[in-house]
Amino acid sequence: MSASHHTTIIILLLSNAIKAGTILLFPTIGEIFAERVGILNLGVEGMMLIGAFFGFIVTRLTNNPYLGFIAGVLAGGIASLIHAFISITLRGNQIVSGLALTIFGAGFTTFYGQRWINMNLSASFENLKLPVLSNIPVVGSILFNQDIIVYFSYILAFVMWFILYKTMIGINLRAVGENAKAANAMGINVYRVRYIWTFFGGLMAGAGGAYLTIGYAPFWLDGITAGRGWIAIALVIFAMWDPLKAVVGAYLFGSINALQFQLQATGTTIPSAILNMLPYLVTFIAIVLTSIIVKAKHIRPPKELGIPYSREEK
Amino acid sequence: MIYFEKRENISAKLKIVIPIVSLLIGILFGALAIVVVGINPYAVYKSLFVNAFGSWYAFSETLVAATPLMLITAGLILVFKMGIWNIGAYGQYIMGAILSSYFAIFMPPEISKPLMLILMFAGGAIGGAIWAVIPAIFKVFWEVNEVITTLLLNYIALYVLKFLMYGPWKNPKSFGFPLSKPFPSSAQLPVLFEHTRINLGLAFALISIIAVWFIIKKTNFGYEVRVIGNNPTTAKYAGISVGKNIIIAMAISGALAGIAGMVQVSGIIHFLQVKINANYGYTSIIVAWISYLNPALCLLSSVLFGGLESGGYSIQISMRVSYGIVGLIESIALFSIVGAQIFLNYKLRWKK
Amino acid sequence: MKKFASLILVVFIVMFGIGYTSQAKNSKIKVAFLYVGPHNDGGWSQAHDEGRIYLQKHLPYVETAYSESVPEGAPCEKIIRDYIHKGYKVIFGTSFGFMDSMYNVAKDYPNVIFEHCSGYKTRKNMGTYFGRMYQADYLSGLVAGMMTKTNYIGFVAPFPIPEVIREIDSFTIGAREVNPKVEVHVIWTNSWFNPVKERSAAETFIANKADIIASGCDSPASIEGAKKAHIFAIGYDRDNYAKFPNTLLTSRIWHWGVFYTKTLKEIHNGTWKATQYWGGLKDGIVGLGKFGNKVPKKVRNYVLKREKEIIDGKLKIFEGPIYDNKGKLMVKKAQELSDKDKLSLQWFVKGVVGNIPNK
Repeated sequence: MSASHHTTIIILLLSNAIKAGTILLFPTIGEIFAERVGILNLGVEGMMLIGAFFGFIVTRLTNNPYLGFIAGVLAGGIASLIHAFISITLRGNQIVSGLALTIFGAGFTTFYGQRWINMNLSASFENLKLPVLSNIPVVGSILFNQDIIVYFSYILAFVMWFILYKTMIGINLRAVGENAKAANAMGINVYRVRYIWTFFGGLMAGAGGAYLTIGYAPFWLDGITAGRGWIAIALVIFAMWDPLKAVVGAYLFGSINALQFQLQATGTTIPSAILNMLPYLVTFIAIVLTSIIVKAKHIRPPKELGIPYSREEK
Repeated sequence: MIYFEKRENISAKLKIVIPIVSLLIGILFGALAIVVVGINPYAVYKSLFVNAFGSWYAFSETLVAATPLMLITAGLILVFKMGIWNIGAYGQYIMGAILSSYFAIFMPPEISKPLMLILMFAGGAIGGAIWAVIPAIFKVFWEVNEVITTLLLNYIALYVLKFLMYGPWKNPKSFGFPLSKPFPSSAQLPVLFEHTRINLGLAFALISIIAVWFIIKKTNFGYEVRVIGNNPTTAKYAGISVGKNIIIAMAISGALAGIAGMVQVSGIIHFLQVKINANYGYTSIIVAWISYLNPALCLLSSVLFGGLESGGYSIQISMRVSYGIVGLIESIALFSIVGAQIFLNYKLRWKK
Repeated sequence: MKKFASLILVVFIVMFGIGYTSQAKNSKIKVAFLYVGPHNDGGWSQAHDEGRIYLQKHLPYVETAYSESVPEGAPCEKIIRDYIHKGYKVIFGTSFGFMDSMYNVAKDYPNVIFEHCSGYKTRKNMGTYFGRMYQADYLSGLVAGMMTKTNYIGFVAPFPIPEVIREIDSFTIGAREVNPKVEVHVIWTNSWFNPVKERSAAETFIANKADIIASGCDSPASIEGAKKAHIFAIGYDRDNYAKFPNTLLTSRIWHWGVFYTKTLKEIHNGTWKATQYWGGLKDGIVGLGKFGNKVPKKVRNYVLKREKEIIDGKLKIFEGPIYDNKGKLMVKKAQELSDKDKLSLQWFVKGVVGNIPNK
């Protein structure tokens, strides 16, 4: 086979890897911000399911994928408020509340989703070639021949990185996750900041789910996220709580999957169970390595991650 | 404005009332969710109860489901008390099942039953412990967040199991299906009550609960665990080796999850396959929390959740409702229990 | 703590009361179905559920019920026993993973009839049933072989078990009969149901210039992928022609209702015996779905001709010479692979690009 033939395959595979990675990118960015203000939300999988479910229903009813996407995003956000209320206002245990949210999302969508199974969407997101940019060799066809939601995720990742590191909002929200008492002394409303960014985390999980059912599948079935919410949580650490590194992580994960499928399609003798394990194993090793490096560099998880805050106590 | 005020002391009455009230709230919201789709919630709950506790057979099946929950929860209580969040019981359970099955599959079946079962028991404990100690070491030496590593190790364990079942451990006589050789009778845990599936595993579970209670209350290690849980920094200043204790506690927790996996394959399934109900690992996290990390209460909540798991599937039969309802009820009850915990320590106050 | 325990117990008892409600007597035969997925999953379980509805419609003396998303492994046994306690006399288990649970319960209830789909363990009161789907796979392979232009066909496969390997092999035999240049590439997803993986697998094939995607997995994700890339797909489980008239070439579909009515008639007449039923095109338990709009008349006629030859017993799909994909002669000329070997098939035929772990 010619070299150009290989290049075409790689371009197509990576371009798909970006789409698959986008499903992970949204929730990863969302969870980064929730954790940055000190709220660990293990309910990502549940919120994604809820976003996926409502995104699908609204698209189906309105034939408008954009309305559907917005509905999915909002549904994810609303689901996150349960977790916010329990862990911020009631100061409940975040791990258990998050797990409950995941069970809730699965139970809710299975219970109410019965009549929506096995239906199709007539409208989805179409690819949009960006002028000029898409003409860049290789990279252009991988990154700039995508649908509008993917472009939205590029902008979002950059904007959120900017907010986190370059604005007052970012300084304040990081302060809340590092030392809530000190933040309060600085005049920041800790409760409000935590609510806002936990809600943002939910919106983003909803976005990932909605993109899955509207843009990727496109149909609804029980448990359609198949564990992607958990991967997003793992990617947060891989990304060291940085939205731009989340982009790398999400696409890398998508690419590893594409790579192992490509290996299979060309007849490798490596057992497929091992290949299927690869993304998890690589993430595991990457997390361990980053954590070791992180420690050396004095970057670490937000100090008060998972710790409830109460204004009344000293 | 409404705010919370810390209680001076926690009354025993509240300790009983709050969980019950929050459970009732959960049941009530669950009922609302069911009403929406036009099904009678009373009938659903009744059917759930009957299918979980309504007869000796139903109750025996509830105990069968409760056994792994008790084993895993007992271990989780120990690590949760230290503030270590092992959510890898799923993977530890699988690794325990794999290592104990190794003996059942590859040892000559003639060896005596006690020896075989001891080997399998040890295999289960060691398999689970190794899978828990790995993240513990990373946690202690490099501060790698254990929530994430234990979670990922769950997936890796699952694929190790799949690899073995579709590859080297597949029974050549199973027409290529992913099952191991059936365990010889020497590798099967004895049944305790005739005509049920309750086996010696239940005894393991009860003993482990007592052992964990004893460790926490009566040993120096248990004391240190509690101190670390209250405040790791204080513990360090008090000269407690936090790292060593974390690794030991994780090893115990993983070992118990591994034993649960061994009990499942040796006592219930009698061969190794991909579907060995490792989800007990996740349910146990909930059970541990609902028990307020109290070993005695863990017994009760394991039975309750065992009933929910085992009765839940059966309500489909009588009520024709989707299994999703069980998750719905379970999660709502959980939300209200976690949320209500604050009222143990705080009073609700109103200030203008 | 005791107080807490008894209080909870009291609450439960007060709220719900105890005891099984007695069932009204009726003379209908009560039949229960266990599905591994939702009854309307659009795939495997729905195909069985359509069979159940067919049965219900055709035999007035039958009453049916089903449990969906039944977990394989330990909890399955209780569900079966619950059905039996409620007076169900016939249990159909529609997933391989139910085998040992059914086998265990069958021992305790000699008067209840068990039929297990796709397994191999039987008792006096427990039979097995399955369909020779490989015949339909072969026919769909003919269609694919004649329709491909790139000679690259992708097969999205769930697990490396004989059932699936048989599908891929017979499909490839069909495709290469009409087009020896065809290669069938295989990706294992290691899951019956994982839409994102199935879709990614399909995309991988598409990137490699595949122009037809076949699938043995239970979600329609790979068909959606083919539709989006404007190439063809071969469906599985049920006929999705109405949804994908221009994407699907044809589908390999199950008609379980045929077997369910046959079995219930035998039970009703008292002639039922536990057998290992393995019906094919002739019995109507498997078949091809509608041809897609893009399939020309010439192709359809050839496929229908071969279908008739299979039904008449003139054409045997696994007849030698058959080489495996490493070039070794596996079935000698004029010999046919025995049913036993078909049921434990662990090698790929020539033309398949893929790997079976540790044969």
